[in-house]
Amino acid sequence: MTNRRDTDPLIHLLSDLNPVSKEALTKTQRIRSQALLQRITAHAPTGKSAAANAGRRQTTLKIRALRWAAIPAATALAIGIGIAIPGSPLTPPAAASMHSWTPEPEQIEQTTLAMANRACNNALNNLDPGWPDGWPFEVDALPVVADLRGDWGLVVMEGLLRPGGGLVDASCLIWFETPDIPVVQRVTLDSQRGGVEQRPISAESSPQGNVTSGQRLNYQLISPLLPSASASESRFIGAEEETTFSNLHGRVSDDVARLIVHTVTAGDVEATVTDGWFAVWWPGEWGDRQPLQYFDGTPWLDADGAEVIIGHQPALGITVITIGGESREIVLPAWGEGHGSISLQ
Amino acid sequence: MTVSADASSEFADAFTAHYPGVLAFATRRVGESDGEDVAAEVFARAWNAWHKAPRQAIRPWLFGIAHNLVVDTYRAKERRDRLQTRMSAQRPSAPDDQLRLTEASVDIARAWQQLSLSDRETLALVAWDGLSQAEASAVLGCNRATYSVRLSRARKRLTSLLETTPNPAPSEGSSR
Repeated sequence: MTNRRDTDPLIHLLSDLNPVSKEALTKTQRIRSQALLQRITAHAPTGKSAAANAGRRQTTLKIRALRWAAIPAATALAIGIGIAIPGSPLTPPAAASMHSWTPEPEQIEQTTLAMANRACNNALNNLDPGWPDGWPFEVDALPVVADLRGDWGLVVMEGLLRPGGGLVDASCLIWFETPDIPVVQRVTLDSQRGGVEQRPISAESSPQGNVTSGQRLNYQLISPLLPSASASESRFIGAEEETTFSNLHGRVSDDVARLIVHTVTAGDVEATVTDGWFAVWWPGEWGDRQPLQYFDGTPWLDADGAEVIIGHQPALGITVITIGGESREIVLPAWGEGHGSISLQ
Repeated sequence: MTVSADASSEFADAFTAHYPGVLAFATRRVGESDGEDVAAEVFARAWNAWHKAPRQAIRPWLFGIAHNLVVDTYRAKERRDRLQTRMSAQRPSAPDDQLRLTEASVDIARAWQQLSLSDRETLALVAWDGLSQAEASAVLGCNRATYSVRLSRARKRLTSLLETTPNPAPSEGSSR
């Protein structure tokens, strides 16, 4: 095929004005494009012609939402455990808005919580884990604790997964555009009791087995204070920049009044404690960053063959204060030291 | 509408092959900040109409969607002005792109700014996007003969502007 650029001197000269002379993607663009592809093909085509669509004005918000939506899905695939999606047509402001975060939680209004619950359930039932046949489950979850800080909040939910009926936890990070408009940014289904890990997501994305280090950490704490807890570090793209947040949630016994988590990256953070549950989240990573590995120590490689570096989860100190005013220091061990079952003695 | 695994796989292949080109196409016209949004919308629309996609000419088909989207998006005057500014402002800068503007390219940049958007697009499809005339005509939704005439006219107008555009005065410190 004749390329006029090669034969026409004027066209050749014009090519010097080309503002984008190369068609290569940056690494970030490549990751985003892969996530975009998954997002687009997760839904059956509408069958409307491109020409008809082209004549219809699209809002930038909708377009931006597509890009926003694409990122966590890809992240979830890369992680292999836990499934996360956004669930809103709105894009939050720059992730810098997490500056409204405070080390002490705020009380969440019941009406706000109810709206957040609907938004999170909607997100949970539209998970996009990249499975060939789509998301096969339905979840009816109810909030058990909500940790609100500034314009952002983490809602921890518990519900039944159908089919199967397994009990699952879910955590849902929300940006409140206003108190009446919850915008789900990331929802993660915690499969430790639900059996989601039995599905082929691991085989799809990590043929060597589930990821063990960093990113997601589930463990049972053999203690009357913290019978079980789930901790994770997640990252997503908000507006134009990558955002990382860490969270920890689980059960507490009835006599626990307060929990103060001594984080590496955000200082002392007080958790929200409600009805036998606690939740806490903070912007930033859990700890330092290390290569992601499979169970057998094989490094996790991205599409370019480069090692995936993620936040390491070191030991974390927690001050537990009982209703009687007594306090006790406990330590969540670093990942790799507990392997899912630890004893606090 | 359901989609077969083959179609899905075909679309994925097309996406992988053409996303960089579509992104570059869009970025040339709307800038970096909006280019990715346009590219995302192009493929979302392409997926919805995948059953009608011309399998032998996917690239110009996708560029055509992008072209329509850009035109539609930037139809409003203020948007058009913005686009105009951007297209003229995005000349390569020597330090960044390791390109050195020759005297001729300075002239052509000045002439380019005086061209209509329609002429610029006609020329850009071959000069920037590397399309053949047949492909460019598909992007614009006209037949090849029509595009050929448009290209010829745009080329003549550019040549004419080049002949009438005065050379820039030598800047201070110039060795000339």
